[in-house]
Amino acid sequence: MPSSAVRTFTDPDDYAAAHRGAKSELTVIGRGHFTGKLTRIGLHRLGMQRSFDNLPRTAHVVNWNGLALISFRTDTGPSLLSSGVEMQPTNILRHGEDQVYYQRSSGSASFGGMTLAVEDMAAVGEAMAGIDLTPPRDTMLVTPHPGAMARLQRLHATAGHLAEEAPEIIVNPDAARGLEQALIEAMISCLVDGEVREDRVAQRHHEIVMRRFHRVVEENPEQPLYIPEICKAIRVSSRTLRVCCQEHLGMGPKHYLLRRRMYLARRALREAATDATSVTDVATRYGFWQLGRFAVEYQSLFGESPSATLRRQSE
Amino acid sequence: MSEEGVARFLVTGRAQFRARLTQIVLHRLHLSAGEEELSRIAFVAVPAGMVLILLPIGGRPSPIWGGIGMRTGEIITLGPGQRVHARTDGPCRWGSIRLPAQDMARYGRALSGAGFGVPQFVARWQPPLAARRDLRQLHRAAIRAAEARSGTLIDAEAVHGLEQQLIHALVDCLATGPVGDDMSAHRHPELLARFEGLLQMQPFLRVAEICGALGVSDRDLRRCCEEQLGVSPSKYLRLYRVQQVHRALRSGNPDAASIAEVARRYGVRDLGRFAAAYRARYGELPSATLRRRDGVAELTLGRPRVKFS
Repeated sequence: MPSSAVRTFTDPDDYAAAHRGAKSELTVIGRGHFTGKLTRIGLHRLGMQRSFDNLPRTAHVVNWNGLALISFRTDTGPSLLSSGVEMQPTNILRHGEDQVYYQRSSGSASFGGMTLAVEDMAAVGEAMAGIDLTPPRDTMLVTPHPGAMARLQRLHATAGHLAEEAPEIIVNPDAARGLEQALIEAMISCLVDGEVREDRVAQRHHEIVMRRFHRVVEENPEQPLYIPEICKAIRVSSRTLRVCCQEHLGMGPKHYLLRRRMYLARRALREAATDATSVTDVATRYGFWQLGRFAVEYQSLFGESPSATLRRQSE
Repeated sequence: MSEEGVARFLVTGRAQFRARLTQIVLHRLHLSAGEEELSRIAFVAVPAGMVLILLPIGGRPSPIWGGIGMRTGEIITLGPGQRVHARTDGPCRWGSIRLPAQDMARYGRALSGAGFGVPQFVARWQPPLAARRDLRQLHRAAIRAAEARSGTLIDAEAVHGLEQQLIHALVDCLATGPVGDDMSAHRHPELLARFEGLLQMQPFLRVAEICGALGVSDRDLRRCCEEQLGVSPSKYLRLYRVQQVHRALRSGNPDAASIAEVARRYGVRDLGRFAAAYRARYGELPSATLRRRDGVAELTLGRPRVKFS
């Protein structure tokens, strides 16, 4: 049964959780109020989604639904990178199997995706164009013929528009079948003779580094982490780690871990018993020994002083 | 300051001695900061298996290590087992970090690759600005925290975070290799360490006898002392004797020991001149020290040592 849903979000965690079929973790880097919007459409076999979010952020994505996925940017804007590769409205990412990657934006980002079961994807590729569309081992960047890409963008946008303005059309099985057919054809003609950018060896190595980096972060969710122990644990020099993080996260590991410690400290302040805890205890616990600087950075990041957070939770 | 490996501490300035010493014992690292009013000569022996890093902490000149002055933006490292003199020519401030060479090697290799080596001997470094700033700020923040919350036990996680950040900054500081090979200590390696050893065993020797025992010319010993201690050998001997006699009198039994006897044991020949030098240093005559006996603390510590969990 075809369906559609359009939702808007003010909480980044809710927004990330709403991306079904993938477990993604969003870390907002920019300041300001978060706005996210997600349109999901399920046709007969084809799934598609259109996303928008407004603040610079990183997303760590683990695809676990076993579907074949392509994604592309649906609108121009500040840079948007996936696995360190710049996404453009003129190219398509054919995601590899076992996908774990970082996507990061440096401002508002609009992007969309399309999914099919792996065997369906392989079947339509074979039947319609004689090409192998089973998910590649590593993600590929494809630059389609401009005309084909424009047609896919237009159809994808139309479907999004329908979900918002006339969802009753999408639920209609016949209309849904027609839309699905048109979308699949547009997708295939994009992929059939698009230029493929070879995945460089260095890129692959960096992805491995980032995977290990994220594993350490994930296995120590509550704990502040520091570069020396991470380098020791994942056997990567600080220089390599810096290059990889810069590429995948848009910032060095030091900055990333510092920002992470800030969020952990904020959570600890919120959950602390006011009378038994001081800001100093929490700050040093998360590695902030320069208390003045901590207070300034905290204020500019969260819009309130650390002591205000500590007081507020008890009210 | 035995924590810092200080085996001897001779004050050369003339006034009431005053110093402030803050020490923090972390899990792996020991941090210290000192602020002193008078010129002095310290003999420092870095324990085997340890590395000592010295950083300027601003506001006042830093000590001169093994004859090497620290210039702006520099730090000095002393390798495991190094024995050197650190002298000051007036008020000074210094900061130090001590850590096991093994930890430094392990983290150094993890962070900057297999080529990382633990610094040996006495070396001078000009670290990249950012790394030096990080090191100094972290050191200062820790010292401040210790002073503000003296005696407090700090959360293990906080200690870990501080150590990790310090180690990172430290390895970054040492990434570029030491500068200059102007170590006068290299010309006569260990000469002054042997000189100190001899003083300990036979404090009554004259300079000429010392030169004979060490197998150096009078001129070489003098040059070495002047470079690294800032005084001549004979002046150093005099300072040393005054301190030793003071200690002996403070702890001795007044019935058993006469001042002349104690002084002679340390090679004092002119008692009149000795008494004057003694008074200049301690503000009282040897006889007064002997009567008081219970003594006063030799170092006025600004703060007690802070122990972290």
